[in-house]
Amino acid sequence: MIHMYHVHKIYDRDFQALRDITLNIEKGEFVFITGPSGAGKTTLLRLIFRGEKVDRGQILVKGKNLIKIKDPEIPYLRRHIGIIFQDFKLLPKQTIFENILFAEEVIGLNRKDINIKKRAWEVLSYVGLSHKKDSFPLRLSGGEQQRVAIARALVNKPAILLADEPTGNLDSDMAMEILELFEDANVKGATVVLATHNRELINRLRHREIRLNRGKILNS
Amino acid sequence: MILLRYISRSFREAIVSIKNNRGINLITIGTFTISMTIMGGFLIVYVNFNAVINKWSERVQLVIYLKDDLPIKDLDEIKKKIFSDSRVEKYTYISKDEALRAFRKRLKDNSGILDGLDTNPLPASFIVTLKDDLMESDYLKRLAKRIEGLKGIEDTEFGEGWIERFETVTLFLRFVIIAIGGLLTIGLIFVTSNTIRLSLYSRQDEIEIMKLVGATNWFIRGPFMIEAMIQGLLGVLLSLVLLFIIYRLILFRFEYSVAILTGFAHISFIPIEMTTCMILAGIIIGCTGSMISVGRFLKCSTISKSY
Repeated sequence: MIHMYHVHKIYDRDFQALRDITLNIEKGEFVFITGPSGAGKTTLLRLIFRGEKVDRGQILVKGKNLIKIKDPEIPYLRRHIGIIFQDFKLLPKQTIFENILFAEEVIGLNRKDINIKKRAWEVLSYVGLSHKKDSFPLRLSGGEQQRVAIARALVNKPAILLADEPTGNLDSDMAMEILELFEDANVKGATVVLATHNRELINRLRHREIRLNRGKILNS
Repeated sequence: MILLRYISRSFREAIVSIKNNRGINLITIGTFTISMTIMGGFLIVYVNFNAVINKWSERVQLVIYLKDDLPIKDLDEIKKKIFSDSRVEKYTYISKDEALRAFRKRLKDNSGILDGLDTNPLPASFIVTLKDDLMESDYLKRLAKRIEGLKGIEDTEFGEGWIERFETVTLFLRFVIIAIGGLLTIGLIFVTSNTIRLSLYSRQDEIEIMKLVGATNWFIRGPFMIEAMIQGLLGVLLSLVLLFIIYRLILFRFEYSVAILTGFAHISFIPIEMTTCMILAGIIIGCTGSMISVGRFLKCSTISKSY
């Protein structure tokens, strides 16, 4: 599903964020990307959804060569990828239900369509927040906001879920709840790539771990 | 269907954005109004000046004086030459006698001075009228020269001097309109592009999320383009209303004075084709301004890292 061959990423001409990364993540796999701050975890995820361009090497995502991908094709690539950040990135002036509908509308679906609303309702129920569908994000706890972000990432049934420190702002219990949602999505077929430095999470679930340090893979 | 949905969504979003950024939108619309009013003012002057010139140009005639006792064959040759010119509308033959009769009529009470003449000194002539858009002295000059070369022509005459002067004024007016139009267009594109940039910054987070979940650039662009087009459209419509009020209240009152000066009794408003062009220009200018700023914004903006 995700293949990288000798990938390098350099910022500001001389800061090597990633050095010679070669890895394969198969369809349906659950992988942790770990390492200390500045190890290159976020950069690695950003390369996968083409938030950044690779400077050297090759990268294939869902069969697409991201070196050759043209700018107008990037949105269509992202429709196969659900992305979750530590800071949730929700629209504060829209209810959580509208936030989910927004993700559907953006890819060309009709937000007034009953099936679209039903799908939004289903994912909100899935993350356990259907009873708060009319709440605004800032009225919710951090854990709840992250669950909304996960619901938004899942609503378009992506093949890949990328999560960058999704539990970074949450307490331990809440983090476990969030982790279970990722685990469940993985069981249902999504390939999950989760970047974290939380050892508790990594130890809890026995999944492959790709350890990064100073932009290099230590072991995989 | 999807396209229709995109357009209706873009309209919805654009109107919300205009409401949310009311102040800056009003300033932009106001700038459009003022600029288009200036432009429209020049157009009114141009349109009416042109109308006066056209009216006058109907009186532009080329007079071809003929030699006395011209054989019929040469006369036919001249007629043929004149009529073969595609830009000649009509010609009239004035015989020597007719010329004298007309001269007598013009002298009225003093016509007695002509009685002592043994022979008629006036030449026969052709009066050639050209088609109405012919305020080109170059063309008249060429035509006169061509005809002068024919056998039996004494002389040719037309109002060369004043035609050239009016041509210069029309050209100058045209140049002023193009120059002002160009400058105003650049200025308006700049203003719209800045307004849209502010609008973009105020919705930066939303755009970031759109990109994150796979929105195409056209989906993001849509509302901003419509917003700028609405600004342009409203600006032009307001300017037309303003111009019409000025036209009715002020220019209308000067119609009499203008009529005395030009012999032409009607001041017209900007014709419908030009108003349509102005409206289209407003929409296109708005669209261009927004395309520039959204294009730049989308090129530079990335999905930010989370903290």
